[in-house]
Amino acid sequence: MKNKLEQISPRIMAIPAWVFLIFFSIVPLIYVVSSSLTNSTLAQPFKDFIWFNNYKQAILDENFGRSLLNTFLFAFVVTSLETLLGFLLAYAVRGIRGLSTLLRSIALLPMFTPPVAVSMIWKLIYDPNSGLMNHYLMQWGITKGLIAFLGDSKLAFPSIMFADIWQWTPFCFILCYAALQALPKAPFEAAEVDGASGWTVFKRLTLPLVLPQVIVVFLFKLLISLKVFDLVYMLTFGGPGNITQVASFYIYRVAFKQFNTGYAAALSFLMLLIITIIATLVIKGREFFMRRSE
Amino acid sequence: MASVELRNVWKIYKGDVEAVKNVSWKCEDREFFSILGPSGCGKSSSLRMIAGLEEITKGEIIFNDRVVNHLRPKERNVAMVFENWALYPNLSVYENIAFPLRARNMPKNIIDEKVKAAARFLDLEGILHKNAQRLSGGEMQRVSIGRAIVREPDVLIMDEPISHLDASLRARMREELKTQVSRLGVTTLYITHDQVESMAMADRIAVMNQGEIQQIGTPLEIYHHPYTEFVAGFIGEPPANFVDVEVFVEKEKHFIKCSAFSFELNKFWSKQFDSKRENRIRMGVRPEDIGISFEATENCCGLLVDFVEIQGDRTIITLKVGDQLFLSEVLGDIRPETGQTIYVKFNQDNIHFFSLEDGKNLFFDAEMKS
Repeated sequence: MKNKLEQISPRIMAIPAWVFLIFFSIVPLIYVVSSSLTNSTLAQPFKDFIWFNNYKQAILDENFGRSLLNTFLFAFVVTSLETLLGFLLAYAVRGIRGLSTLLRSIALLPMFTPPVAVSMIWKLIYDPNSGLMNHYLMQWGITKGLIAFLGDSKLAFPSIMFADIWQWTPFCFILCYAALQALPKAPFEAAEVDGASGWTVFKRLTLPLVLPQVIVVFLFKLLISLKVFDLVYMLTFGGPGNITQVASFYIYRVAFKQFNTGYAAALSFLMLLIITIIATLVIKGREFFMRRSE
Repeated sequence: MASVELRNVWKIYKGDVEAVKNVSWKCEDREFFSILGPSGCGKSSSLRMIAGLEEITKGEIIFNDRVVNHLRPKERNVAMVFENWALYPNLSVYENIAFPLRARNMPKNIIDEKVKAAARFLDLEGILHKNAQRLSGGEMQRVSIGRAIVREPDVLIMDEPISHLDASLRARMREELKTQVSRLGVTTLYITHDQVESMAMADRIAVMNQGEIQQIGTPLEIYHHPYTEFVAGFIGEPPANFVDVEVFVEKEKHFIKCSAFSFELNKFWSKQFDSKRENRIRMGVRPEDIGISFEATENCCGLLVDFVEIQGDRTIITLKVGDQLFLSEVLGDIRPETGQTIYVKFNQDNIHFFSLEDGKNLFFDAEMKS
């Protein structure tokens, strides 16, 4: 009797997780996939079954293609910079004892702030008339006139990226810091006794040992960046023109401005596929790297 | 090559933890010197200060005639074999051994020569290109020695280098290590908690406990003439037996008495107790110095057998001494029964008497002279 209960109980305890997964992941996924095969609108879900027409349209959709490119550009640029900055910061402060709790708390602040609030603050900073950015750039003599950061076709995207880097570098910093702290101490002491210089230790020990974890950090943040929506929505609303239109924002427009939910569902599913492929590639790359280093 | 000397060295960690208390010793050039003690006795702190990985709170560390307190590890030319070996996990065997040479920017052909020589010496030639993570314990140990000796250090420090190997490999490694190190002729500091390793390999041993040096001497001195009760109890397997006894004199003869037995002391001890009047003391005797017989003889004590452990070549008998237990080690063909009374005679050449106050051997000087 007891044995049977012991056998079943793990499954019973997993039920809440299953329920959660079913209602919040599996059901929506099925819903999206099935509505992507129809001509649904916001008012008439599952109207007219049209097979893969939405997908055919998506492949030919220039706007979608451009927004995808924007997404990738955004995601790879900010993720690379954030991971690099986060790692360098973590490496710089790794030896400072007793600082870690304080640093962690401070570093987490931008992540505690709701994205909408972060976006609002950056919108105010970038403001062409009363923004802090213009104020200081002019005070320090770097620029002469007022700049509309978010309205300028060359500056709008970099401005969004800058805000994202401000918000997410701490995330990379904390993960890299943890990875550095988790390195075994003994090989580094051995290197000290062996007389290796700081640069040699970094190049031949620290970096190779920590790189697999850093790649995971990169992957995490990349997946987060590919979904970027809030900053674009709040700061530029895809503009000027559609220069900062990223995929998630385009999908939002199709669904809630054009009310074409069937098509939006197809676009969403394509996004899912593309992100999965990218994630798989990064993971495979990491495995390849780790095997080579063995 | 160098001698290593510690002069009144202290290590006090944050929070007033005194890891090393006023320790002084000198290891001569080319000597195999072992620091032996239980975990937390301060031996690792001592060695980390010698290597330069830890700051010295007070005192001086001297290589030859030079104070090295403020030198960085790489300026001291010490090499270290770490507990768990601390190989560079991402590098091959070859690169691990070459690491200290590359750190000194030696030309490639000389590095290659030296690494190959070290590999030949340690029988590592077959696995030079294996990754360090994929080695067996014995191989890792040899690689870490290779890395330590390849740059011809003045001092070789080994921190529990074989404690993590399994028992049979450990026995073989003891022998191998000793041979390799003596072939190199380098000053060696060997840190361990295993008295067997110290006894088997070291020229001299420093026994430490709770941050203090208990005794420094050759393995045999330490075994036969322990300076403190701690040393007597720590060295030897099974450990020595201790019991609180009284000395009394009757008709000009000296006797030892406790609740379970009494016996007459020989001339040597009588003379000692004549000059030093101590009444209540602690007696220590090693298991192999308790001889037993099944019949009462002169000056023996009858004791009850509590347990008999048969090990084949020898028998370990647990005896009841009042409310304490004594271990006696005898030849394997002597096998008493549990519950039997047997007759015990202590080998008085090898018993020791310790002060109840500070645990010191009361007659250490006399023992050493005899």
